[in-house]
Amino acid sequence: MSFIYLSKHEEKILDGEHGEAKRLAMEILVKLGDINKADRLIEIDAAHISGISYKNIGDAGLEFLMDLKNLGAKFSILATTNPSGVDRFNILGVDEHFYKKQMLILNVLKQMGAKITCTCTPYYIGNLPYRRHVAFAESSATIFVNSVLGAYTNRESSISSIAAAIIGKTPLYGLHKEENRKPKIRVIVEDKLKGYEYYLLGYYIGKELGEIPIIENVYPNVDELKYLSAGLSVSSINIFHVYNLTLESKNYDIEDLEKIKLDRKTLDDTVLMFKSNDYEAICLGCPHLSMMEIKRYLRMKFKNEVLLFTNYSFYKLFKEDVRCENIKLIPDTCMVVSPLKYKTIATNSTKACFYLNLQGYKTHLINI
Amino acid sequence: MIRIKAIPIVKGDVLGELLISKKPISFLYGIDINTGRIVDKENELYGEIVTDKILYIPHSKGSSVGCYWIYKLKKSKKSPSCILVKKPDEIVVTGCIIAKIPLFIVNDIPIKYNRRRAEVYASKRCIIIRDR
Repeated sequence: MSFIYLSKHEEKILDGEHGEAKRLAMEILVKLGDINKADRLIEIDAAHISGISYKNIGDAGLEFLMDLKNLGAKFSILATTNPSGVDRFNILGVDEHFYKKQMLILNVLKQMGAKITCTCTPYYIGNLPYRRHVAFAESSATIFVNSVLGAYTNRESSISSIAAAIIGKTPLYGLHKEENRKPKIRVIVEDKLKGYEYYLLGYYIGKELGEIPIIENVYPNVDELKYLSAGLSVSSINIFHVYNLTLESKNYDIEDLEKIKLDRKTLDDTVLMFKSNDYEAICLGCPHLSMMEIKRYLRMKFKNEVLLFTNYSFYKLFKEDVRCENIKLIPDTCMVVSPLKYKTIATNSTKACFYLNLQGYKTHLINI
Repeated sequence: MIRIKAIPIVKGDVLGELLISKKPISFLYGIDINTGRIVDKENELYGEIVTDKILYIPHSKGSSVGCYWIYKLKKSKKSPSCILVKKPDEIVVTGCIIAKIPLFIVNDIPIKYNRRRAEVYASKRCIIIRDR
């Protein structure tokens, strides 16, 4: 029983006439389309694929990707990748077994045609889908491109982003349709927020309100919009609007929406969830650091060991500027997807805290 | 006996104990791969084991890598025998497709049926919970 309209060509793919890899990819897209009452597939410009780290997907994930490649899987559009479990130089010092397995994963994806970017902020380095339909996995990037760039994407899973990248299409539902992007709640912020407080704002809205927000009385810069996206990413919200700032914020009549007032005190209560008193290292770059952030952190003095995570291009630009022995600039990976040797970690990112806590690390949220 | 409508996404017939969560769950690191235990402290089933249970959640939350986590749970033989969701999202759907775990859309299951034995049938498009 299928609701979705398929062209002759798409039907042939579904019948396996173009090989097993395309058939499986099409089956996944059609199933997602059916469930979500999509009436057809639409072409997309690009995909961003998550589930790259060996730590997260393990041997099971590696086998799955190898099987898929052996079935003939090839990406038909630009497909960038999320961070890997280790940087290419092994600055992190992971064991040889882990490093080898990680390189196998990257290699399989490369053979399928992925651009091995190893970053969760692909919009810094060329996958910049302004006003375009795309299929992005990686929750914080999904939210950022929808909200800030006016892109159209659902929060794809690792697998559905791969399926979409193979076919070059995605079912038309969810945030690909204007009517599903409307704000449902007005969040009026009563204090002037700055820097890492945008992580707290996103985390609070995601956890306590759970609806697409239009946020008023805030003036975030691009880094802060990224923090807001990361804060929201541990919820199931995939877009936000900032009144008078984000692209679509003026499209909606918000007069009749429910209003929620928020002050700094309420947000600070969130911090209490992530308090451990001491920490071995400070990890920054969840999501990956921008050029402005790297410049700022490289000018600061720290007592502890500091790991700064970013993409390979920014690493190359700034690696000569690292002057303190206790600061390491690391490309390709991050604190969440790599096997860190520290047990207690300080960071400014609520997203990193959330996933590190689940993995049994102690985390300390700091304003930095 | 009570019958609840269940629309199959990944087909299969399953017998087992119901585990009902009213809150969404993050599959990535939210369930321990080696034990099948729920370790997401934000979920009310924290500490429970999902292995071979019929797990009901409204939907998933968090990381897009969750689909691989479902696949890994299956490979380590610690997965639920069946997943029921109110709102099927990309993570649960694709995870269950590649892991071949039966997945159904169910509008709601009253919490009073938590831990009761249930039968889930793709062909009959329903869940049956018999009187004790």
